Amino acid sequence: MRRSNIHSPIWQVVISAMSFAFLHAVYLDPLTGLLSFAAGIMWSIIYQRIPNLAEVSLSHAIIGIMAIMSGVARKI
Amino acid sequence: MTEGRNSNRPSAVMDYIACMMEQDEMTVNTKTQYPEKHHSRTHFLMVLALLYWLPVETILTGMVPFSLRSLLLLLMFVFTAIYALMQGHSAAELGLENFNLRTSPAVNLPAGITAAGVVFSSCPSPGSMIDFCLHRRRHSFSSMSSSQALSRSSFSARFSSLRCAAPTSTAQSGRS
Repeated sequence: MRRSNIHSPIWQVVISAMSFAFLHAVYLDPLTGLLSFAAGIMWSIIYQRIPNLAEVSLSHAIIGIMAIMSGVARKI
Repeated sequence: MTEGRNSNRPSAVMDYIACMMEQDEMTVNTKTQYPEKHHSRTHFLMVLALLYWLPVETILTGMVPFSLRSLLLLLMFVFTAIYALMQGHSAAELGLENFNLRTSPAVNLPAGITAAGVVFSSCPSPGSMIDFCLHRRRHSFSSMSSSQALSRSSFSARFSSLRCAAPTSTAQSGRS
């Protein structure tokens, strides 16, 4: 995004979170989409502060496992 | 001794994290200097559409079956990696750094655990995980034949069938 002259941190966060939430649209579940958007905002802000992909991936894995086990990320 | 006592205070932990972040920022200024090749916003939107939106659209329109979503995700990763290599993105630019491995868990772990709690509390059927753990041993083979179990491909399908089968089987055992 920086290479495309999108320097605004808010736009960077919003575009990342929206793309991330859209990736979860395959589940056709509004709750999954909403939670994905919220998680996307959280991880975008964290990544802006501390740019480390490994830790964000680990965090995603933990939350993903919890989501699947609790029945959130399932196709309706 | 004094430093040891002070390190027990909560603010000392925050000071420690802030100190480490300052050190990381000093390191990042020396490490992540790379020549930037700028693109237009149209180029960015096209890349975003092709690499992120198009695969989702193929599943939503039914061109690719939902069961192949993991394979599609793998293909997206491969194409994104190829694009990053072609464009000359550095490892630092892609977030593959090791200098901030100390500070990152201090932020990611609490946030991740909190978010996992929020996800679990917003579960559509609360206690399903506990039900699954309690009924797994009793109903994994009794309520489902081996051919049925083998025919179910995904974990979620097996999980949901076990969860649905559990109350019925419990009721049956209660009657007997």
